[in-house]
Amino acid sequence: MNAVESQNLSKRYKSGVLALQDITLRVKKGRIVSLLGKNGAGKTTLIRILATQLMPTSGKAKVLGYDVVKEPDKIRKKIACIPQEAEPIGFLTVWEHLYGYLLMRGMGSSEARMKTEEVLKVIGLEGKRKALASELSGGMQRKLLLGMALATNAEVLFLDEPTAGLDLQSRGEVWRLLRELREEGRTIFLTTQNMEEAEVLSDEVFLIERGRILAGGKAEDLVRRIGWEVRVEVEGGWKREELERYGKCLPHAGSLLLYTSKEGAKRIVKQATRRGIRTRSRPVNLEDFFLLVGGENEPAQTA
Amino acid sequence: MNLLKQLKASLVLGWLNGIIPIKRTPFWVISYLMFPLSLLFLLRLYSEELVAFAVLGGFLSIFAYTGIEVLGDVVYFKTVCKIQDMFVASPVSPSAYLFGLALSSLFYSFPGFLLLILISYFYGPLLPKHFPKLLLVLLLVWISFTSLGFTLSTFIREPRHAWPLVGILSILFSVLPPLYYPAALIPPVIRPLSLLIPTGSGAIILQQETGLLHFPKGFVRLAWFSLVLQTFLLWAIARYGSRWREN
Repeated sequence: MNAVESQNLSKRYKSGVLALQDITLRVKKGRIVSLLGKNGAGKTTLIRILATQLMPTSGKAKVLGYDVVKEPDKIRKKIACIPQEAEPIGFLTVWEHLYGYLLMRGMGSSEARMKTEEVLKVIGLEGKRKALASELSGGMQRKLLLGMALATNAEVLFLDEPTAGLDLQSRGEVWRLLRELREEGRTIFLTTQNMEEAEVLSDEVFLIERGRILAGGKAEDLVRRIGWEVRVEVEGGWKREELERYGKCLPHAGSLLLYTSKEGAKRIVKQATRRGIRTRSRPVNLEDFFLLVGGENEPAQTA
Repeated sequence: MNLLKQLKASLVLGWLNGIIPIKRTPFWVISYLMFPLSLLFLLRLYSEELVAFAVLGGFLSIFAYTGIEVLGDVVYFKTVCKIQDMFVASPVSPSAYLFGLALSSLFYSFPGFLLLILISYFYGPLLPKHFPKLLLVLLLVWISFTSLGFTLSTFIREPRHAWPLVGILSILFSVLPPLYYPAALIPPVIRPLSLLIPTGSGAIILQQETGLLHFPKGFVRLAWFSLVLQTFLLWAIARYGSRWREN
């Protein structure tokens, strides 16, 4: 059975904005899956429909075999979710958040206490158990919310940009936690704008743009689909037409990006050094796939 | 989750959103008392006879105000913390969530309830025999206003819009109907209009039951009917008409 599946799922808001169009995807259990896309691409809309928070307009979606429209109660027993930009409740302590949320979800008192202690250690907030949520830094608040979702026995976790605003170290800790959950057989469905996160963490990535899935698969397969080996960033001094003899070229943030072979990259760098032009080169990655396939499209509608 | 687990979820939410903040910030309780106690003080200066009316009005307005305040809580959880979606995507049902928030508001009412009983001991009009009906009326008023607050909250996206709304509604439902003054002061022709508001019906019932005023039996029966009907309708709208899951 798939953890998540959808068939021609669409969402049109009352404002008329078409936020999702014919989304069809399948996610196996025990995987970490990332939805990658720009602001307003439809990531949050999709995650909210799957987490039974928002009704779709048409199409079908199932979570753990249950229909999101007809059987939301069955799904809600088995999922947990962290909404985008959610904050903990300022007047409650860290401990009260974790313990109270678990009790509310139906966990027994002794198990909830045990889980709370366990998760406090895992998220590194053991020393802050009595601190009010309003006294925590933004990163700590995010970790606390993540802890609330992790502490549940949910089989599928929907995390909407779970590492947004976290420093590098905290982000690394969250990634480690998510990998551990995957080892336990849980499915994690997350949205992110962080290419590295999607590439390093995910078993599968879906690139979403203007409400459509443009591509999906393993990150390395998507990178292979770029068809070039190296990205060379050239800062001025070269015309686009000249560079296009070596591969695919596109303007990006005031520079030109050249996607080319290893040989082509060597020649360009050599010529650039001779002409005193700064270049930076590296092997292609998921960010480049995003830029080439989705990033150069028109701006997305706001969802 | 079964009914017992849903009840437990409500109690936990009541503890998290009611007892804990009251212990940390007792000003909340005082703020709910300020309005009824101020009116009671003013009416006492004007006439000792009106104190009994003000005591009954105090009971009703505290329960109505703490009930309508659920509006602010829901908006806070939904649009400020944006944490309500965590509860939507969980086994907690909308009824359990609403009941939990309503319970927390009840905790805020409790100190005021005790204080008014104490005042009533000195100034009347309550006797022990009045308590069953008083509690029943307060329960219905509380359910009506928490339901109304919950329903309205689901249509508010901007938290700042909740603040004036709470102020307007609480004045509308506690000053205009005959809570702090005898219902007999309203001309008989338009008196039935006060039955269109739960607090108005409650005030007429309590003024009759405590012997402060005497209305025709049919009018009091109509007040009971109106209060029960409004409570049921407001609860049903909150349960089935509010937007737990967005469209």
